[in-house]
Amino acid sequence: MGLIARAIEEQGIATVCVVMSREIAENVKPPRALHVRFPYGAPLGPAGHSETQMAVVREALALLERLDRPGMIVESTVEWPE
Amino acid sequence: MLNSKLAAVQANVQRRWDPHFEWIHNEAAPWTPLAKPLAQCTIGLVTTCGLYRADVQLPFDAWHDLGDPSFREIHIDTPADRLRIAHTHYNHQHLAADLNVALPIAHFARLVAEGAVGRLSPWTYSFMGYLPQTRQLVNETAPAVARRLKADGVDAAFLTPC
Repeated sequence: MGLIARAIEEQGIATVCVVMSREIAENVKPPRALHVRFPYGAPLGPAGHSETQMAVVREALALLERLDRPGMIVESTVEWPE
Repeated sequence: MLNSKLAAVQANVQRRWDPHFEWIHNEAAPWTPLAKPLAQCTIGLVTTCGLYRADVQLPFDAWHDLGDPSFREIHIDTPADRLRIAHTHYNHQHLAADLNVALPIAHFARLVAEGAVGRLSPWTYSFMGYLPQTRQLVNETAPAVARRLKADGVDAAFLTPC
């Protein structure tokens, strides 16, 4: 996915990625990334938990305005709900 | 350069599916600053969850050892029951029950209604994220989607994995 973000960014469109593996993101280097500690298959949160999903979306979107240099990977503060 | 976790995944992929697989390592990332406030931006969604429209599109070749670098365009008004997942490398339970787990159309509708985001682009783009051979993605299909996003008037792309 980071490779797709890089291609889009090279076309002159800003991108933000939600990533599930910090290690992969550190190697592929998408322009902006939010790292969530969620299980594969649920990148924004569990099914039916729209507030959790929305919180991740808001955090990731904010990086578009907040970050000012390429390759940053920001840790999400959103927890997987019990 | 690879930590032990990625080295183990690389060895596993090489043994089971693709003897030539190696993780990509980039030293730097490209950069396009956001051109205007989010409240004025058109956002485009891109996901690598392997979603496709079962009624009008062929599934990704999710069972191929070398992956499938193609993409599918999915309109935001597509009824959820027309969508299927073709991806054999994650548990589909959450996404099959709730599209917004990875394709947050409802959440962006809310952000637009709030005024936090200008507009959601009507076209989203779907890839299948298991892809040990990336050349065709990097040279052809990812740039093709980038050009489509440009033609769609997208100011910023929001990407989700699975």
